[in-house]
Amino acid sequence: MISWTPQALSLFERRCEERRNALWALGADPDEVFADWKALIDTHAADARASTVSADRVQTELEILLVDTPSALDPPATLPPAAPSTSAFRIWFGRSTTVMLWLLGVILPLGVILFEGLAGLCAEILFDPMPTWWHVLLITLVPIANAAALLTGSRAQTVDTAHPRLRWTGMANGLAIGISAFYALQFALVTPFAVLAIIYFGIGLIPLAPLFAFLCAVALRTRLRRARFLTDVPPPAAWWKTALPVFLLLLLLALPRLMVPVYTPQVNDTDPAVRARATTLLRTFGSRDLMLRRCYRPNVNMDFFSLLLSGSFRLGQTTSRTEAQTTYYRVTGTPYDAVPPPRLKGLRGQDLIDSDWLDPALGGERVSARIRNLTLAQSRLDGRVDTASGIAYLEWTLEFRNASKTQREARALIELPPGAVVSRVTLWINGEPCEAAFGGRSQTRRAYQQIAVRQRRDPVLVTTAGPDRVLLQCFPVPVDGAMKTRIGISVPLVVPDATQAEAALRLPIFVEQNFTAPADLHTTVWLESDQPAVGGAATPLQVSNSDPFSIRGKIPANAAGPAAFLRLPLAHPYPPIAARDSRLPDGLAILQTLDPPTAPPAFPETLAIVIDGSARMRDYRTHMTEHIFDLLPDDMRVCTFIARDETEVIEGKPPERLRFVGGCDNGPALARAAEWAVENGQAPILWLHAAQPLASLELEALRQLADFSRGTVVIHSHQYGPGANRIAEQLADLDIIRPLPVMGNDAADIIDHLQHKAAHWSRRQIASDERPAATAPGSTHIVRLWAADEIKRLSAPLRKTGHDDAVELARTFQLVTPVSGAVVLETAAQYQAHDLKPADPASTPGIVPEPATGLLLLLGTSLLLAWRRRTRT
Amino acid sequence: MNGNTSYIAQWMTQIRRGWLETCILNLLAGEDIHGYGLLLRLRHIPGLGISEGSLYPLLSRLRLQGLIVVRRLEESPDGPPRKVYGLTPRGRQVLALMNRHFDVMTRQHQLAQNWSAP
Repeated sequence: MISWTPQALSLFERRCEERRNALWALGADPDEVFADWKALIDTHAADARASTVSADRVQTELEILLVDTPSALDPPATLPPAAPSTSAFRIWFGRSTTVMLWLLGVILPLGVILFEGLAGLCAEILFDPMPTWWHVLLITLVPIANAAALLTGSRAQTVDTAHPRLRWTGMANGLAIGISAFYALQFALVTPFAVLAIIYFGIGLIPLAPLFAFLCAVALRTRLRRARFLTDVPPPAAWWKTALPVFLLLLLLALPRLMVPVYTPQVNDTDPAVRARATTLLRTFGSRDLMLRRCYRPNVNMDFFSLLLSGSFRLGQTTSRTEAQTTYYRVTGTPYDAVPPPRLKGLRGQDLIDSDWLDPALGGERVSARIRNLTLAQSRLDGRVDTASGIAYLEWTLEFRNASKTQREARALIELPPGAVVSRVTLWINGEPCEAAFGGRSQTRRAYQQIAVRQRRDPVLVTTAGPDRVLLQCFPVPVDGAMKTRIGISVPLVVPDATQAEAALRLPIFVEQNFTAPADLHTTVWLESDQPAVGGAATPLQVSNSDPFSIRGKIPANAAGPAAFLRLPLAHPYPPIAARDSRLPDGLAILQTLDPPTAPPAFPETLAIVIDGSARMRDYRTHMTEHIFDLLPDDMRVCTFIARDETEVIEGKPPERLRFVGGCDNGPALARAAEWAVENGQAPILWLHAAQPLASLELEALRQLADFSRGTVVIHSHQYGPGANRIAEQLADLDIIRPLPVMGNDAADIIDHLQHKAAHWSRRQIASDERPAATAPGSTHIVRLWAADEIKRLSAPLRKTGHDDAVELARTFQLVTPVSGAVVLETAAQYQAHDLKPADPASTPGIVPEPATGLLLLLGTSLLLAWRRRTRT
Repeated sequence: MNGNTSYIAQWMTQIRRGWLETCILNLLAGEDIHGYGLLLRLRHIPGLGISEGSLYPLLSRLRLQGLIVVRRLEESPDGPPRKVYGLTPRGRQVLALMNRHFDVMTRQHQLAQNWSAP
């Protein structure tokens, strides 16, 4: 390797510069010619066995070299513009440019990367420029490559040190051009605003950092070329050969994220075909992380490429939080609030989800996401089972604790025992139990929202949420404080098989909650019964057979797993029961009978099966096939409707190999099944599904069919796993969704139910003197359950005048029904302001036998003894 | 230098206009050659001697015009690596046109020398 002395290099450069303009005028590249000349001098030095090129040698060589340059050459036909002459201004300009290159090409990008990494400002407002460590690595390469180019391209260094660096620096420069070009384009939408911000406010450098870095990288390319010509380093690949691949690589890496804002509106489109196509695309390629982030910050990732891909430059077009949440569910099959929220940091590094994030579902009708530091501190279930009356009364006491920094609303969706109704709600205010007022559904919700959400006082609200489900809302659970409430539930015992002298009681359970129950927290159960009970197979309850029979134990407090249940002996045949209540008009009573099926148990001739094709059904595939579908008789006419992005219809039983993916809207499949059922002898519909966390977009056809088929459309639903059923809530007013009263063994209960084995309670109002002779007196809960039946009848969709009567009946008998709700307010003035009246504690049910019931029981026992004595004699 | 010599010198400069470029392209049409090799070959053709100071600007110009390209760097045992030049496809097309024009000019010259009225 020949080395040059600094004096030689300096002399060579000075003399060459003198010829720059002449060479430029000839159409040659001066830098290239200088490099060739330099190589020639090296060759001559090597021939002369010299290891160093001195200034003298340079002087001699140049005298020969430059003797006739460029006189022997002809100028080209078209002269290129003359190179600027070297001057003091040019030197000053060169130095200033170097300073600017350091500032804008190295220091600014490094600062911005550091700032974004710590604050996440861009990720929060626009899009995440560094979603993975690979992105961080690539972005960091830009200032590093620019710094390397600045150092390597400097004329001050010797040839020896520049030689090995140039090749790598050239490659890194190409990469820097590609990376910075990608990010400059991504920020292109913000660039004009940033320029204006700099002009008017002196700020806005951050979004311009990629553009500056790009311009610097391009400028440095020229310097590198010049430096390369002065040494003998092989030329690096053309800049686009490194820039283009890395640009395309970044685009490829960004594609899953770019697709999300593009296809989110299409997933929510009204056209089912568009919806299906967009959902499939996002399911295959879309970034799930970004979809989840957009559930909390709907308009992140609004960048140039996203708008370009969507074919729309409408800047005002935004995505709503609901659209983003719908998209996440449809694509993944998991509700956004069922997974831990993403990490979203604010400017000061605070956690946006935990502290600043306001609960969007506050005061609404959805449970929504779990809130950190809101916990269930106590859960206790007390009750009394009265098999003689065929009822049970349960009281579930809950205490919530809030360790977060702001007041919180505790919300829970509770699955009641089949056919049960909430008949009491209590809230402890300042240690004193306060009873709820019962009123119209909208009236109680309005009162709750005004008192709770606006005035931030102490109410609790209970409303129905579809068949056999209620939504409990308590607000505010104070900071570092607790809130205690209780709901009372009147329950009819279930008689799954009319031929058996046995009833069943399923206990209530959370199916969705926005608080956390610690793993070691259980619901403490203590029930008393007039008959010895048997715990279900999966029910960890201890049964005491001493009179009064007690059932004690602990069951999980979280929304997971099937509900616990008990089996109890029941009189067979069951005698009629008459019940009185002071709220019934004088001379009237309620007669309750247990009616066996009208026909011998048999499968229906035709059956429509609707299967939810969502991912969460995957675990139940074998269960459904082996325990339900295989047990259906071969001669039964079956049509299967599989709810997917587009409904799949199969004539016959469902195939063994079912595919479950994403989160599907079951509405269209239900509508088609209902249509088929009506056309095929009013066949029953069996709907097997997972949770339906989203409302269906296409239920109008089903609603219309239900309206005009006059009660013949019946959908027997069975939900696998916990979670809300928004479709059932949407159709609650039609009363066509009938949850199957399963007790532990889902499959056997479903098969039994399809064969119509169950006996049904019948309650009707009679005059006291019409009571049959052998009628035993029953619990007042029979009257409450009759009132609930009556309310359902009065509020049937085709009745136009019964709604007010239904509300009045619910208010009188203090029931939470589809037309009514229960709300506890804090002061008498609040009740007055909302035209509500709290329940008289004397009229509320309790665990200890009510005085009236006790008297009736005593009277009934006396009558029964007298009757037996008379029959013996 | 008398008047005739001066006139011839100017005339030769005019004739050499483009001729040197054609010769370099013709040399490169046969094989890829490094700069020093070109210099030696040109010096072996009488009347085409060219200085090192002039060859490299000419090569640079031809490269910028897209007629030649640096194919590779050839390692030298003593000195620095040497650039090996070759013709580009465009260079070949241009060279073909040049050669054709020179053939035409030669024929025109012969016709002018042996002029006889048609």
